[in-house]
Amino acid sequence: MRTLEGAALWAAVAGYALAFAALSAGTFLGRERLGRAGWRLAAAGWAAHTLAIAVRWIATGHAPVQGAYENSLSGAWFIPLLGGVLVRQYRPAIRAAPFIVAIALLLLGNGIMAPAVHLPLEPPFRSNWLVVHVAFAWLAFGSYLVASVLAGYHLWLSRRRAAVPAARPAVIDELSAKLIAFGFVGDTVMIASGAIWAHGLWGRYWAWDPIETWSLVSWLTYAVYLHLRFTLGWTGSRAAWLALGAAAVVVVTFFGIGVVSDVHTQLL
Amino acid sequence: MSATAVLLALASFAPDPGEPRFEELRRRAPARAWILERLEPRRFTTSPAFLALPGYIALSVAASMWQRASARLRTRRAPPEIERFAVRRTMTLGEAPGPAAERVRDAVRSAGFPRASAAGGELHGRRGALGFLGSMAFHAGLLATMVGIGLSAVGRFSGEVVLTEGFPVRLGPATVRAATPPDGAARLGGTTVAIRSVSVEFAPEVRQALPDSRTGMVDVSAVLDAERDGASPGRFFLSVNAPASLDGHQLSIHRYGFAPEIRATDPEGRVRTDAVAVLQVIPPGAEDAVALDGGGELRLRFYPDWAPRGAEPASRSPLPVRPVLAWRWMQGGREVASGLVPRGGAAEAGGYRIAFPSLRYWLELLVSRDPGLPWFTLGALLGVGGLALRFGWHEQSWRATLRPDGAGTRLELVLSARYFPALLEERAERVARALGGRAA
Ligand code: HEM
Repeated sequence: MRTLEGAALWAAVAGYALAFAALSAGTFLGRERLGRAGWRLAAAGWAAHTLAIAVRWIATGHAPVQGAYENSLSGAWFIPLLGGVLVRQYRPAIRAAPFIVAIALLLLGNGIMAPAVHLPLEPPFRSNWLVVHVAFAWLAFGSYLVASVLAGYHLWLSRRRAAVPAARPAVIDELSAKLIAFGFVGDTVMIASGAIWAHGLWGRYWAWDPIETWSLVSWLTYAVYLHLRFTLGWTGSRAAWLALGAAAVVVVTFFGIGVVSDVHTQLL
Repeated sequence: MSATAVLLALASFAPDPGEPRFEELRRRAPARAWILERLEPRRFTTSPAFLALPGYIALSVAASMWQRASARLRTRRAPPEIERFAVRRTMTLGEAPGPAAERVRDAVRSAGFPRASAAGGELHGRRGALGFLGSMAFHAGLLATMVGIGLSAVGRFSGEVVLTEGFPVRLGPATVRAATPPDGAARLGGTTVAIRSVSVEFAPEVRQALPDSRTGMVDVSAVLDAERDGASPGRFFLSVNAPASLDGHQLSIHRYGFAPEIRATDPEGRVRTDAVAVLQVIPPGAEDAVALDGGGELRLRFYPDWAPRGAEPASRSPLPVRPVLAWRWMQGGREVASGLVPRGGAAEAGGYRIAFPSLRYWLELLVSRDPGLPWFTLGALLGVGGLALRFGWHEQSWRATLRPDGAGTRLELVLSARYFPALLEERAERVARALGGRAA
């Protein structure tokens, strides 16, 4: 089982790495065919990634959401998935794909550095809330990150002013906003499910520990984005910069606070 | 909202005033310590200055809901036919209006526009009422959550009670520790609880590999019996993720440990303690102390699965397989005797005698009551449902007018949406491509 998991994981890493190179050639050198091949490589990498998750899930008997290794494995999985849905919706968004694949690679790399020992689920995690909470956390995180890649791509496109742009900047901008809205729903589910779960475990649904405070800070940041965008009509570069700033807050929440603080796991 | 987010972000960096580091700061830089102390998240978020912000948000949410709902009711009879952004296309299709209408229906639908209904020579569709309701539900959820947080701030109670297997405890101010607010435990008075059949499970493969760690723990569970004024006893199965609900309070397992029964006799034959000690398990092998009647104390280290490593006392696993107590009798701050005693045995050194007849578990339960929880939960449900509706059902509408034009049909198509004008154009192009008519 472990060999199969390892092989699938390395196949995923190789698939993504090659996809990154080919997609970059498509985006930056205009080599369309390489770009398309990159897309297929990313899909193959993702299939291997899915296999690695399935094998680990079967071997440990629980969803792979415990500890840094498993969390990176599952978290990274959502990123190419969201990228795939995006490109299906709007084909020219494929030019932003190298960055999407790069994020998945970075996340996986972060996981590979952590120990991958098989451990049984700790008592607090033995709850149906676990999968809901963690899956929505990663869905939200993935959506926000892919949205920020699109925001960056939008800024790049709108500065280049090519006679025939590779993609319509306004569409890219709107797709970024759509992903943020989608991520925000996931974020809300993550926070709400975490809070209700925390009440059952610790008799309180909110205690202002760093991860709770920062989850709220990120949530509020995106709430501000959505209001500025949909109520006050912010679009284009202003919205893109805002999306990039908000993504920085989310990265602090997930990696700065989530990883260094141990308060998320109390006692038992 | 931005102000709240920034203040919270700052507050999360403030150190905990309980830390020694903080005491140091208080001495060195009292002014900085004063500011940081006020920024500590738990304190800061209950300060009037901070509470004014969510209060303001709540008021403006309520006001904007009222405004939008009443505006909506006023215009309900005449919904706008066309949304804010509209794309118009006029083209000629090769077939007669009947079959053309079918194709228009399909093309519009597959570009994600709402389903068509027909009236006269016109097809149209609209979607959006749910989006509006979603936004209302989300904001109502936000208000409910805020009410919940307010109710929790004023009405929440929490405390801890330690229960040892087989020893019933009457819940109340005398037995519930760390009660916040301190008089909140009075509402618990009258119920007697006891635990039995405590079980602490570890995964078999980890037991051997990581004896001194709680990694590999699978669950802690127990049966809780409750009795009130002689009424028929309630019985609950407790485990880490399965709290009990008793008299409006939640009881959840928080910590566990071993409780050896100990009888200590001094060289004069006086029994100085005959009780059950509550020993900590984390970190394993840490020393605990039990006070002795008439002064002095007994220092105890507990090894649940005794297996010394050379001369080093140690435990092979966290399970009570071969429990052994290492004891040191302290008198006037000085050790007068020490030894090891296994479960069911007794040990003597210099006339000091320790007996260890039995072993039980103790559990620390968190006792809490939170009048804000139902509001918070309701708010969360409304919030999530509302958001899903809001973003899943954007307001959009379309209209297609079909008129015979020679052997074909002249189509006038208006597609509109409240948001995302660029995507609307993309979709309009998809519809036009699918229809493949001649642009007029
Ligand atoms: C960025 C935000 C968050 C992320 C990424 C996150 C992620 C996770 C993950 C991955 C776990 C599984 C255990 C692990 O591997 O450590 C977990 C557990 C849990 N989370 Fe969160 N979470 C977040 C915010 C919250 C919030 C805001 C709450 C509550 C208000 C919460 C409550 C819980 C609870 C109760 C558990 C299970 C018990 C434990 O950690 O000991 N989480 N979370």
